[in-house]
Amino acid sequence: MIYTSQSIEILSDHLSKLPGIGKKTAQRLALFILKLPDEEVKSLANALIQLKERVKYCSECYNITEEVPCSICKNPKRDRSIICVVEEPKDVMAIERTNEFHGLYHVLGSSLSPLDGIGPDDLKIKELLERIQQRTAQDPIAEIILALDPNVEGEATTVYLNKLLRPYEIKLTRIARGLPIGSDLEFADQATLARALEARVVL
Amino acid sequence: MKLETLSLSGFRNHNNTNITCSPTINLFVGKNGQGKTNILEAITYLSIGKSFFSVPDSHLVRRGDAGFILHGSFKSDSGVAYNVGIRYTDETKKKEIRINNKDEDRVSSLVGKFPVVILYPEQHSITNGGPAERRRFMDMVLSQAHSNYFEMLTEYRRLLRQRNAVLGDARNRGVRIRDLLEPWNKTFLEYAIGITVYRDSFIKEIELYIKKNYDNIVTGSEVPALQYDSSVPLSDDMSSDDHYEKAYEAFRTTFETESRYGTTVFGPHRDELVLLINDLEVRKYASQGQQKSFLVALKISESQYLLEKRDEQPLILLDDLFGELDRERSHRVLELTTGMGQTFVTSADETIGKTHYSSLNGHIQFTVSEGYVTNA
Repeated sequence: MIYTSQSIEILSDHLSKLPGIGKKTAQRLALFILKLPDEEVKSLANALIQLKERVKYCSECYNITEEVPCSICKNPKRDRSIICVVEEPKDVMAIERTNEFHGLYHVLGSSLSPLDGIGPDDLKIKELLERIQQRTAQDPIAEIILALDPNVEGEATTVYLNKLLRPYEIKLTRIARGLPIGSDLEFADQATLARALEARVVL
Repeated sequence: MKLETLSLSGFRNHNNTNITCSPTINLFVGKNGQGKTNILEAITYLSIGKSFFSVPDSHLVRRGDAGFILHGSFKSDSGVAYNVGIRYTDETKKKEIRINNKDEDRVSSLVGKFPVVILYPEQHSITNGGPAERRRFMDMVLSQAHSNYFEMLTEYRRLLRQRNAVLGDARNRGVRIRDLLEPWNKTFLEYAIGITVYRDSFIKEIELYIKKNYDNIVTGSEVPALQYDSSVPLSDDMSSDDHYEKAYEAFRTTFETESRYGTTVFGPHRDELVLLINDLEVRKYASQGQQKSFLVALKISESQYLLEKRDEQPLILLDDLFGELDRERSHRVLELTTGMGQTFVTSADETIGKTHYSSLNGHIQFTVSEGYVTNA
């Protein structure tokens, strides 16, 4: 593609690196930004800069935050005896939206995925173990919930953590895998249905 | 299942092709390189979400176009109408699938709904090529027959790639490698067993069809048979804990080898389906004629198996049948398949309609020339 403006080219190049954005879309976005009022563009640029400057990882749970430790770890109303282990910050947001969980989190950063070069050392696993070891008898951990994605990588990570955490003699649980609310039993795939049966509960 | 209308735009050499299909036989004639096979490829794409050739989607886009759109209106044997549209955009490498005006985000929602049986020249490798071709054959039929198989296979391949990434990484040499592999082993073995169970019963069932069909094609006392050589040991109750233990033992004995080779050597991706005639391996000992007859019997059996499992007559796609088989065999195939369902045949021979189909009603002959299809 031949550009008559190098600035457009530079911006398009940057935008096309974003997920789901191809060359043409990037160009369209760049031209759209060109038409925006100056104020609008300045606040967009500022928002981008602030994002990088202000957002940090929490020193306790490794969730994204602007203050360290994060507002969840600092909140005295949260139950410090339960830690829910998730893969990514967006998983914390999803669980928080339910308003059903009042414990703390631990964000691993990803799941095990050798294909992407992600091994145990690349996850915040060492940090999780340190967190467990630092707790005293007055401030114990009663339960660790593993809430990883229900795919093969999440499953392997769960198996790995289970083996690693077992010696600490803390109650280990995993979230149930089964049928989504509002779906039909007959359309569920066999794997989901089998898991749902396996995790059935007494009425 | 019947395909009532088909349209291709920006697909291979077709700019904008619209076809109203015959419910019985559709013949596509024309010289080589005009776009006949592309029509069968488009039908395949609508039914399994990819081509029967192993090519990336971007190769299917017509030169100069930004992507392609395929549309097909199907009618099931029970009379339910399905409108299927697939749009592929080359810029984003994304394909969008719509069934009856609803977006489907997974190819798995497509596979098996519109079953197809395809016979194209390269498939001779099923009878005379390596084991990979026969695994591909099993996977293709089973994925269409059981949605669960397709999902399992997809997950299994992902697990396999993850395991191989651990094994292939030079930094993992030594003791640590077993620790890194362990989290993957249980699920890997579960899926390996699951796939083996499906393949085992498939082979037993389709063998019965093959025996009958082969007998219809070849007059004589030749007995075809299938034999399954699997990594996972076979037993009558493969869902039991005992069997899992036994399979794990077999898996464990390969741990040393796999570390040495840097790749997983245990599992259904290494299975072999052995084809036999009178107890002799078809690939090594059968004549070319016998191999072709076996392939035809296999394809007809595939169609019958899919009908039994899906309760839906598959579409039958025969690419360049007459170029591949001798006159007598190809005529026999047409006789056998015409009674089975809607058929799509390509040929470079323009007189094919007259010579083979003159006695049959309802067939439509299309002429394909430089990506244009005319009804004559």
